[in-house]
Amino acid sequence: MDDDLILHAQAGDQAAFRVLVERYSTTVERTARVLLADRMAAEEAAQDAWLDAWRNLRRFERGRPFRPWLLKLVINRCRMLARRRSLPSIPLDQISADQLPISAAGSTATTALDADLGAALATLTAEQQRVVALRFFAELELAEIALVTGARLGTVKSRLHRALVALRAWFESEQPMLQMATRQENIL
Amino acid sequence: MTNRTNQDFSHTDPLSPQLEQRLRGHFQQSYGPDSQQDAVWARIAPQLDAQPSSASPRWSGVSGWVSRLRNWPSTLASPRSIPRLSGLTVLLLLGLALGVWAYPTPLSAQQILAQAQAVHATPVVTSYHLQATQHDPKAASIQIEEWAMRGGYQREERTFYNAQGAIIVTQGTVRNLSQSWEWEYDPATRQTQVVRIGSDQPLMDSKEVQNPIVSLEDLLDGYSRKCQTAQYQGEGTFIGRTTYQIELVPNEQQCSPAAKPGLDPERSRTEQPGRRLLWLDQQTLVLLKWEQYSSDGTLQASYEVTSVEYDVAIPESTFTYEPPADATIITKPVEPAQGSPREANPAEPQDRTK
Repeated sequence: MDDDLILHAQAGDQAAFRVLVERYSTTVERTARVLLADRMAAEEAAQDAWLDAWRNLRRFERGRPFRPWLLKLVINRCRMLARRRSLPSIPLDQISADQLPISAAGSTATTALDADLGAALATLTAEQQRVVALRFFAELELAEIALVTGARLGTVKSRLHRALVALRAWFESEQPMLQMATRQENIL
Repeated sequence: MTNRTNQDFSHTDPLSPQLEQRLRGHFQQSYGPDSQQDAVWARIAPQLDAQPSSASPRWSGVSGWVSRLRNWPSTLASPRSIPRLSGLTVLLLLGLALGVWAYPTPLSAQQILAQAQAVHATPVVTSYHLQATQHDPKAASIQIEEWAMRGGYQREERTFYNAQGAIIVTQGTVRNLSQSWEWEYDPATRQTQVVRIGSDQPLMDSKEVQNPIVSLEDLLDGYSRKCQTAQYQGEGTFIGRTTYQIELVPNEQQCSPAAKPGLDPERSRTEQPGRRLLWLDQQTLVLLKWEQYSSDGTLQASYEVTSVEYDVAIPESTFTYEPPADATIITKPVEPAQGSPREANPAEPQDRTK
């Protein structure tokens, strides 16, 4: 499916490359957002990763899966950006307010249920949270999460397993309370 | 009854549809909406023409000339060949006149830098080992040794000296497929501080060890953001390697940072970054030398490779790192990412000196 597009894009066909961009842009951007936790930085990293993909496309071996190759470029760009931002020479004090990451308070209105889920997620370790976000937000395969996080596949599996067990336990404990609240609303 | 372990596929246990839906909804709320695909393409498309998908712009330049030469007979055979020939004759004469002043190059600075950026992502050599010296306002000199191997392996060691030749600090970085380490040894306290960055550490948190070493991507950052204009300065030779020399000139109208309020105007002028000169190895596009000038022409910082070897055998152990037994391992608390569902899970620093 990707192979024909890659073949055309390798020959310089921008329309074919555009289809690839449209097909994978959500994955690329969401992965960068999870890795960098900064929307503006993630957009920059994603954009640079696409430019890297264009520049290096002729080196890509057709027949191999495109998505992991692309994700490697995303990881490289995220690392470069993170490294660059840690340099004192970067004028971070000149970043305008609209470039700052979305604050939790300023984000889209959060329902009470989401706040509960947020609290449940906060009980997970940082690496568990990242694995869950890469799985359910960036929609990555487990092997891809291993690639992105630099962890072994077995580690990713166990982290995700533990996280899901904890979330399921939280959800199941919440259900009786929810049912009770719904019943009370119906009575009123 | 199935005996489940962490090694089996218990991770694939489906979540209840309600929980899965809430989880996806929560992340989408926290991370914000996706960019419009048209907007993504609109940001990328203008930069694709300048950076064609070519394995080697050098050869695409040559093939471009070949193509033009191949089309030359048809140009001559055209009914409009006379005005064309007149125009071409004028251009030829102008070209010959300019040739007296500047040696023509088949490559533009933009093509060279695009190739250098691409090579940085996918090196043309399998490995390299280099030694370099950097002069920086933060230290009299910095001695650098770097090993790199295709596939994302890198090791860099940096020793900072003061004007008296005493070591101020020693830093290092090791990266391999699974993890990254950064360490800093302070001879005054005889302590090593180690920061592990990898699967257990969000990338943005790698700020404990400040690294003043400027890499190619740092140098090209302003150029990538169109804050600088690149100009090809010609070929040269440096440590026995043929180089491309590129000058990056700040585009003041677009990106010049405003002087900080209260900063002495003289200091502001001398600290304002000016032009940068880069020397890139023609064969490998490895950065061999750079010079950074302030806006008033003062040399601010410089870097020179003193020796470089390509395609050398580097033991894999070079790309692993074992912290010294008495090192202080920093496990930085994960900061709650703003706008992110990642909340803080503070972990105290593990002081192995105790």
